[in-house]
Amino acid sequence: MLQKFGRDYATKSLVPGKRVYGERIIRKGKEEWRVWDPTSSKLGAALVKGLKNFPIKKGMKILYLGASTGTTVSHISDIVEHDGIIYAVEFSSRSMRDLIPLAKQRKNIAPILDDARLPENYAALIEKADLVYCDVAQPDQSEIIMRNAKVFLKPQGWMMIAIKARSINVAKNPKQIYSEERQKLSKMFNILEQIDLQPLEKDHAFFVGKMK
Amino acid sequence: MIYVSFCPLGVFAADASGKEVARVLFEHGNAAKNLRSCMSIAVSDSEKKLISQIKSDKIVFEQKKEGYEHEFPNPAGEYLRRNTESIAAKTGFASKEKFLEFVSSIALQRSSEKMIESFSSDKLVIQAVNAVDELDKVLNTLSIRLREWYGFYFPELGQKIQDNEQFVNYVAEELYRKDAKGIQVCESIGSDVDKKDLEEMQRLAKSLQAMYSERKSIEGYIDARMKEIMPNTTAIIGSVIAARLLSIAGSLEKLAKFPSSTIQILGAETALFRHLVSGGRSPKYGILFQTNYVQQAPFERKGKMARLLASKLSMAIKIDFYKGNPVGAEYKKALDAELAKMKKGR
Ligand SMILES: C[S@@+](CC[C@H](N)C(=O)[O-])C[C@H]1O[C@@H](n2cnc3c(N)ncnc32)[C@H](O)[C@@H]1O
Repeated sequence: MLQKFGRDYATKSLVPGKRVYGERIIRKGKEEWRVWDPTSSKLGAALVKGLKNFPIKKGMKILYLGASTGTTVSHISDIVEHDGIIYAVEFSSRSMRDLIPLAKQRKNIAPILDDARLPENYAALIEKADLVYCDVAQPDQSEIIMRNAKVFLKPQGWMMIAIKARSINVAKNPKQIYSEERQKLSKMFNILEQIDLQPLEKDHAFFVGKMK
Repeated sequence: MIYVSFCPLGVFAADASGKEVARVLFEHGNAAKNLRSCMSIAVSDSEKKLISQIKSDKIVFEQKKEGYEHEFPNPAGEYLRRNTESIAAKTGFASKEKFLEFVSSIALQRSSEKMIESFSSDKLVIQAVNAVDELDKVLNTLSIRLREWYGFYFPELGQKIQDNEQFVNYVAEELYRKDAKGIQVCESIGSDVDKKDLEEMQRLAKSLQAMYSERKSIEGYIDARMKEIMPNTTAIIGSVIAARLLSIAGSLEKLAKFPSSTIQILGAETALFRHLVSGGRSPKYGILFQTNYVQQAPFERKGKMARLLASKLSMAIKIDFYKGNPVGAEYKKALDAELAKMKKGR
């Protein structure tokens, strides 16, 4: 569950008593709410910057590309709860070293050590998802999300992507990169929202869309 | 045409319209093991069983499979990605929650296994060489501190002994002023300090001595390990610089994929970035600047030397990665000859 506490967003912890990345905790009776730090998570930053489309709900299946050590994944895990699942794809075994203990605590995280460019490698573990989330910080990140969406996204399913201008082209103006990426993504998705994450994340934009 | 794919429940066959035509379910407790064998290129037992039930002789797998065609995605996989959950409900999973927990646990097992498989000893050397570089930083900072501190008592020594390690050794072992290296103690402009002041400086010096010795020990370890992991590269540029290349690349596998132009400037990322953004000079060398070859080449030939060295290294690294026939000594000889020519001005 996601809720606003003053200016902060927080998710109700699935595993009270356990912090994931040093986040603040708000206690409400017996409940524990984990404050979503907008400087550690791009989705957290998008929320603080006024994201209007936030489709993630209890019971959803989410394909998450570039899970890293699970900062953002942990909040999504709080929201989808135990009748949902996050297929968390990450290709760095160093990050996986931290993601695996998290998945042991939270049964709704399915950690997948693999390259998001090669969906055929992990297709056997994944069912059609309600949302594909992509934060791989790679020059071909738009292609990566589309290749995965084509196979794993339900019709009318959602997509969220964080575009890091610097990982696409260090020399180009970020605004121009965002519009080029938006054009690429528009082949497959209706882009419903675009948010500049500045100053919480330098040179990052966040897109939300729906499969056409 | 019949299509085959699999999921955590078992192996399934479907026709072109995605209608299921056959299935072989995994035994519940063995799902992870069965799934793993289906993921490999060889035809697994479950797949053999499934094939024996299929009447068509044109079978297309979704993943690569020895002796069969494959197509990704295919209708059997599509069928599974839409229906695994409802198949699970019919094959004995009490709830959606239980089934999802089962899927996660299988993913977890698979990833844990892959972590163990993906380990290689280059990762250990990378940590070790990073430790050397960090020790160097700490040693440098603290040696300068010790010089400042000890300078109140015996400023002439610091001026005479430029080498940090030698300086540290003096403070650790001699401590008191004495005539040495052309210094006359009676002319010192240092102040007299208490014994307890000096003893504290000595304690720091002894810790630094221990760090210097630790650094040597790690270097010896890196040397031994690198001769096993990258014998050819090590023969050309020495184990520590070779290990630094490895560390920047992240693994031998990644390093072996870099073209020689990348190897040439590896470690000069900031300069490269400046070059791309604001058109500053493009870097000629990164880590390779530390090698004898580039160091000793005449100034105007350093760039050329770096290029030659990088091209030999890129081959040596690939041979190290694929464990080919040794070339290190031969390449080193060629580079030595080239350096000698450059030094003579030819
Ligand atoms: C910016 S981080 C993601 C941070 C994370 N989304 C969060 O908010 O907590 C990018 C991650 O993507 C991973 N990554 C990059 N390319 C990838 C690929 N092709 N396949 C899988 N993971 C990839 C990197 O290893 C890194 O951990």
